[in-house]
Amino acid sequence: MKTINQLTKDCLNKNFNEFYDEQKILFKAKGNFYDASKLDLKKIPEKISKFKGVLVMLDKENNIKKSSAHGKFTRDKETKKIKKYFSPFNPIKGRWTPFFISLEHNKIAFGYQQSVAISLAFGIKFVNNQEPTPRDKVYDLLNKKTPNEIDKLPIGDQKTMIASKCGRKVVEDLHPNWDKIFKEVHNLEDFKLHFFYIDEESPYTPSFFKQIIDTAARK
Amino acid sequence: MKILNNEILKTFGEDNINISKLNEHGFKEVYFWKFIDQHKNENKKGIYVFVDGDKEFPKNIIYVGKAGESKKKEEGNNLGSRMQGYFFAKEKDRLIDSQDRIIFEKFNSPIIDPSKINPSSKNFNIITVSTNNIDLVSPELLESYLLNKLYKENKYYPLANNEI
Repeated sequence: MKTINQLTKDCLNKNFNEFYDEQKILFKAKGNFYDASKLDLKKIPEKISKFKGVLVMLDKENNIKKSSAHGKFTRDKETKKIKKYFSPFNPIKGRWTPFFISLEHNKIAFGYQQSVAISLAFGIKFVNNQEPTPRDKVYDLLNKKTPNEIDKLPIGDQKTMIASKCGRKVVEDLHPNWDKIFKEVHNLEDFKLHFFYIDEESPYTPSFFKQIIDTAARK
Repeated sequence: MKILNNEILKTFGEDNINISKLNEHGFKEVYFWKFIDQHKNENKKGIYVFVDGDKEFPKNIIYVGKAGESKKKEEGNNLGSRMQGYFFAKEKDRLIDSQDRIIFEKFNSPIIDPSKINPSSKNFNIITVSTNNIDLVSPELLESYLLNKLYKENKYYPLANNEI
């Protein structure tokens, strides 16, 4: 792997294809690059089932549609010390925001529209700066609190609580309506999914490598 | 401070970024507000670094923050407006305490207690790195570059930053 300075210079000065291909070779040499189309779903490597690093989604013309970084060094809320380990994400189990991948339905979707999903899932309307309605459906959904307690909450808090109920499983079950919930829905085979594995010991963080990839692609 | 002098210029290219420092000849409150206003008027995007000059590198770096995003072409979010947000308003006259120490009003993360970060005003400094081409050198890239240099190559996590 290259140093932070060399990687930065390369992404600024090399053309995208040259830069990207070189990174694939360097990561592959260390066993840290995976192309989703070549994975055997019955024998998923641990570096993918517990993924840390940068996931790059490219269209058929090799244009980057989106990249996402997984793994940050953060402070512990209690001790305020820096946590030594990243929280890995499992792309097979799934992730639904800001993009949605479903291997089961062979789809990849971008542009999640929360208010549409909530309306379809729970029949609740989200309108800017207004209380979510109808109220009886809100009370049913947030039934750990009494209607009186819910009514006293700020609108933003009510919306946050409702949104948290609309998780991956709920969105997955709305499969026939994905074209309404997402701005774009594509077949998975129309995209390449590249996994660049970067762990805590790497010479740079996933967030930095995502910026490097995005910069190289933006030129 | 090699990173914020030659190294960052050599890496990103002198045509692509500009470096500006608040405190070349001693701290004065009037210069502080001028520095903020100048950055607001110039409406530049990039990163700002709060520096405690009483300490040695890298422990002198208090905080690295960014202003602006490559995807957004917004007008208001610039280096001046973002830097100003960490201090009490000018008219409140609470920039420096009775012991000549800088008072921060808040940092982005509620985990960071601003009352515990109070460098002496005498050697307090702010360094900005602004981008001349946001599509090439984005504030996100500059911020991530500097935080990675500090953490991965110098084993240092700035006091008031919360994620790298």
